[in-house]
Amino acid sequence: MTRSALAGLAVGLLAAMLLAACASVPPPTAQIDAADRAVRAADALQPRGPAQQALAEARQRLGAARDAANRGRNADALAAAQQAEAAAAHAAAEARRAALEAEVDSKAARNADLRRRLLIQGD
Amino acid sequence: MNRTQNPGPRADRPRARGALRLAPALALSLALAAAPLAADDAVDPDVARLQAELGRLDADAQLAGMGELERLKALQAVQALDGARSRERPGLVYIAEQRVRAAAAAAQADALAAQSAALDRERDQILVEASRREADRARREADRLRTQALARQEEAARLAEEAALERTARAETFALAERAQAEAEQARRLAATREREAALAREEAELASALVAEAMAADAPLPPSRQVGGATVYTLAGSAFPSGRATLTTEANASLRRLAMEIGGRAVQVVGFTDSQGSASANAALSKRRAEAVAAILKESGASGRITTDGRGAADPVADNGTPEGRARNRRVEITVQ
Repeated sequence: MTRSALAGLAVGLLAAMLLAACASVPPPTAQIDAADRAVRAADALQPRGPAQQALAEARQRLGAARDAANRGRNADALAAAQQAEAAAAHAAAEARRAALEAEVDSKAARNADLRRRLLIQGD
Repeated sequence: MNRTQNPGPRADRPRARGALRLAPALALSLALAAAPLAADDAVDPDVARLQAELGRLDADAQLAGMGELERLKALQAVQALDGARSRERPGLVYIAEQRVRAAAAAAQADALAAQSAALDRERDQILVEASRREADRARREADRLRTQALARQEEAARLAEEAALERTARAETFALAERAQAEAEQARRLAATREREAALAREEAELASALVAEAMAADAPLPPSRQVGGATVYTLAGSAFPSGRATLTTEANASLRRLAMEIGGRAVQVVGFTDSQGSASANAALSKRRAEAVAAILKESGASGRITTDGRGAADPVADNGTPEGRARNRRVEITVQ
């Protein structure tokens, strides 16, 4: 086998591998939908601060996933969709934590007021 | 977060020209693809960092049992880094970082949810305690009002009893007063009765004395008399009066009553005289009083005509005032009957 024949074989092998790789990843429609639901769920929590930043990243990666899917780059679309879902989960958890922090502060103040009005003054 | 940016794979384009020069590159790619497998035993810094974060989360006793599902997802994401191909690695690191942070936030959120529930329970306890205290306060207030009402009832009963006692005392006092008044009335009636009895006794005595006097008058002699013109002059001797007084003796009284019956309705002039002893004015007054005393007896004994009186003292003596017998004759009252 000549040197040029070996080079052609290598190039052909590499092209075949790349084509096989592209052909093995189906369009990540379900993952994109899941990421979209996660982003909507996080958005419904009206995140602020770190949660808002994570939600922005989730949106950005969800857009990238859709763009890659439109270009037929399914592997990239799948990865971006998974990243978007993870970022959205992070945003939702942060938003829930912040909301509960505010709720705890409010309830603590309410209990203190109740105790003052009902148990201290009323006694 | 640049370190988590997915750079995105780029497929190398096979080039016909200089393909032989790509052989070493393919070998390098294969070697790089095989590198993670060869570096299995080496410590991945990202995995170590993320595992450390998960370890700190697990070590936090206050967050124990919190955010279990997110922790599991984070652990799986960290474990997915093992054996990841280099082109997939940045994206997987990003996912693992997001999952770890989500796990921490979820654990803290669960802890906060538990704290919120505890605050709700605390609120319920506060309300229950407030209700209990309110009930206690209401019970104490009810007890106080009941005690107050009882005290008022007792006070009212005491006042009613006092009023009843006062009414009884007042009734007794009234009864005593009535009884005293009745006794006084009875005593007054008794006194009046006795007074009437005394009056009757006096009247009887007076009547008896009048009867006696009348009886004595009927038997008494008329005073000595003389005719002067058409009139009859009766002379009451001076012995009819004690010396210096105008009171008639019993005999003279009876004699005058007898004379009054004789006089009837005729006019009478009564003139008194004295002896010459004493002052003239005293004698004049004494003779006047003696004349009036005689006139009074005549009137009450039946003389109903006009009676005049006069006192002339020692004037017109009928005897010698130098002797006792003469002065006795001068002391006289002359009754002139027309």
